Amino acid sequence: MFLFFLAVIMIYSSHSVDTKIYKLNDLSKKVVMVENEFIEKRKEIVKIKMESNIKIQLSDRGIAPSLNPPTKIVITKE
Amino acid sequence: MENNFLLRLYVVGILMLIFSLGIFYKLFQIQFIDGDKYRKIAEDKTVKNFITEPVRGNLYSNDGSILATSVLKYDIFVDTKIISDKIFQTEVSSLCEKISKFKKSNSNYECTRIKKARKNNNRYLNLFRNVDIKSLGKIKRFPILKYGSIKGGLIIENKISREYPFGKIAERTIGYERIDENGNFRGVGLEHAFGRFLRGKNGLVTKRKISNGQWKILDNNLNISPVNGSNVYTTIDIEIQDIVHDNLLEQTINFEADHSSAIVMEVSTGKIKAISNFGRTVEGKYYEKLNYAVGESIEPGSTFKLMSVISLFEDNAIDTIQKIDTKNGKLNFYGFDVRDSKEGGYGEINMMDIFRLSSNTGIVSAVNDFYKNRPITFVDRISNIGIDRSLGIEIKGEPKPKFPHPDDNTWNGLSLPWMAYGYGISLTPLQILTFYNSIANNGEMVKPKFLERVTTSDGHDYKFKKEVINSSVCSKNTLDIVNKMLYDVVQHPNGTAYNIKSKYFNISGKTGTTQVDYNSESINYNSTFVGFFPSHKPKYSCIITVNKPNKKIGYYGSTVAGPVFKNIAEKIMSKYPNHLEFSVEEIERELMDNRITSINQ
Repeated sequence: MFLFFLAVIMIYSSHSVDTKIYKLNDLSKKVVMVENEFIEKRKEIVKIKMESNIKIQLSDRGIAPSLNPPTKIVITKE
Repeated sequence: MENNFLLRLYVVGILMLIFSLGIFYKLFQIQFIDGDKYRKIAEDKTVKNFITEPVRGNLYSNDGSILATSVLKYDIFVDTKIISDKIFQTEVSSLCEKISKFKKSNSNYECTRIKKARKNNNRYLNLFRNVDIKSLGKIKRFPILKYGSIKGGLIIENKISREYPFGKIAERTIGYERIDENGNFRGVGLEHAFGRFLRGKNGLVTKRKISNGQWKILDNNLNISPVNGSNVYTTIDIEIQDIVHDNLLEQTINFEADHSSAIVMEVSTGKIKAISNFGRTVEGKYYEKLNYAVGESIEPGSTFKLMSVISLFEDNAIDTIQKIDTKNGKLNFYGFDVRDSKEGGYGEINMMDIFRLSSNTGIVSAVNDFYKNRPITFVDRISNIGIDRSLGIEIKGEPKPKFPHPDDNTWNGLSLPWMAYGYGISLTPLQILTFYNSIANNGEMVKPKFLERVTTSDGHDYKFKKEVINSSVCSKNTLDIVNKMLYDVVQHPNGTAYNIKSKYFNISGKTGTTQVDYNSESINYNSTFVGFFPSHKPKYSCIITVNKPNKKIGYYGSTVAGPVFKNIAEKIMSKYPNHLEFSVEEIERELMDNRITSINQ
C-alpha cells in the first residue's frame, strides 16, 4: 500500500515537472518575442530620430537644420 | 478419437511451449545478452547532447544606439491538407487578398498557388519569408491562419538573423561576419574586427525526450552553459555619421564620381566618429561598396606637402621669410614636368605662400635643392614621424604605406622630387588623416580608435585607452609654423580653400588635387580636403576624398571635397554652443542702468 502510494506521488511529481517545463518553454519563447519586439521598436526610433529623416519630413514646412550654433550664457561670480 | 484429440492437444501444447520458450529466450537475450546495446540505442534516441549557441553581442554606437543586433525572423508555411473543406471554401479568397496586400503581389496568383498546393496535398507551402515579429502578429490574424496550427495549418519557423538598424549608413564600416564551409570566421568591418568579443562561447546541454516532442534538461555535471557574446561599444557617433553620409553622398552624386570616402576623427583621442564610403554601380547608383577610407592606398598629392614642409623646417633648410623661385610654374626632371596649376607660376615667394597657394614647383624646388645629395635624410624624417608604417587598426584590409627608399632598386632621379609633392608614394585616407590629426593634437600622433568599451555578459566593463604612435611628430616651432600655414589655406583670401571659409568658426586644412591614371591618355583626378576645426582649439579632424569626379563639372580639391568638409564641420559645430560669459557685477550694472533710464523717461 505504501509502495503504491509512493509510486502515485512519484508519477504526480514527474508530471508536474513536465508541466513546468512546458510552461518554461512557452515563457522563454514569449521572452524572446518580447525582446525582439523591443529591438524592433528601438530600430524604428533610431530611424525616426535621425537628422536626415527629420530634415526630409520637415522640408515641406520650410524647416531646415540651423547652422547657427546655440549660445549659452554663463554667469560667473567674479 | 479421444487419443487423436489428446495427441493434437499435446502437439499444440508442445508447440506453444516451444514458442513461449522462444519468447522467453528472446526476452532474456534482449534484456541480458544484448541489453547494453539496446539500452544504448534507447538512450541515444531519448537522450541527446545539444549544443546551445550563445547570443551574439550587440554592436553599439558611442551613445548606445544599436548598430548591429541579433533578432528572430520568421518563415511562415501552411499545411493545406489539414484545413477543413468548410473553412477553406469560405475563407480562401479573403486570405489570398490579405497575402497579396501584404506582399504587394497579385491576389489571383496567390489563390492559384494555394489551391494548387491543396490539390497536390502540399503540407508545407511557403507563404512568407524573413518576416519580423510585428508582421508575424498581423499574419497570425489572417483568415484561415487565425485558426492556428491544427485547424488552420499554420506552421511558424524561426531563425536568428543579424539586423543593422541603420541600413545603408556606414554599412561597410559596421560590416558583417559569417562562418565559411571550413568553420572559419570571414567578414569585414567592425562586426568582424570585434568578432572575438561579439561571438561568445557555445554551451553543451544533455536533454531527455518527454511527451509532446519536448526535451527536458538532464541535471548532470556535463552541462556547460553558453557564454553570450559581449556588447561592443564603438566610437561611431551616429549623429555625425548621419551628417557625413548625407553630405558625402550628395556631393558624390553631384560630381558623378567613381567613389568617395570621408572620415571624422576626434582630435585628442583619435576616436573615429564617422566613416563613410560610396562606390558607383554600373547603373550609376551609389552604395557602400568597399571601405575605401581604410583599405584604399592613394597617392596623397598636395596633402603630402605638409610632410615636406615639416621636414624642411625641422632640418632648418628654410625659414618663413626666405624666397623660393617657383620657376615660372614649370620644372623638368629627366624629361618629366612638374607644373603649377597657375600658368607661369607665382614668381619668387616664401614657403608660407607656397603652401597657401599649393605651388608644386615651389615645394619640389625647395625639397630637391636641399635633399638631392642626401635623400636618406628626407626618407628618415618620414620614418621617424611614423607615417611609413601601418596603423594596425582592428578593421582588416589596411595596406602598408608605400614610400621609395634610396636603397631600393627602383629609386631614381624622379623619386625625391615626385615624393616632395605626394606622387610615387601611397597612403590610405585614414593614414593621411592620422598625420594631420597629430598637427591638430599639438604634435601627438594617436592611433585611430574604433573601440570605446566592451561589456561582457556577466556585467564586466572594459574600457580602451588611447594609443599614442608618436608623442611629438615635430618641434613646437615647426608646429606653430605649419598650423599657421594650414590656417591660411582656408582663412587667407589667396588660400586654395578660401571658398570654404566659415563665418561661424575657423577651419585649417589642405587641399589636394591629385592626378590619377596619369600614365594613360585620359587623366582623372582625386580631389581631397583634409584638415581640422575649429582652428584655435581643434575638436575634430576630417578627410574627404572624391575619386574621379566628372572633370566637366569640377575636379579641384577645393571645389569637390572642400565644400563637403565645410558642410560637415558647420553641422557638427552647430551642436556645440558658443559661450557668452557675464559676471554678476556686469549684470547688476546693466540692470541698474536700465532702471535709471526708465526712471528718467
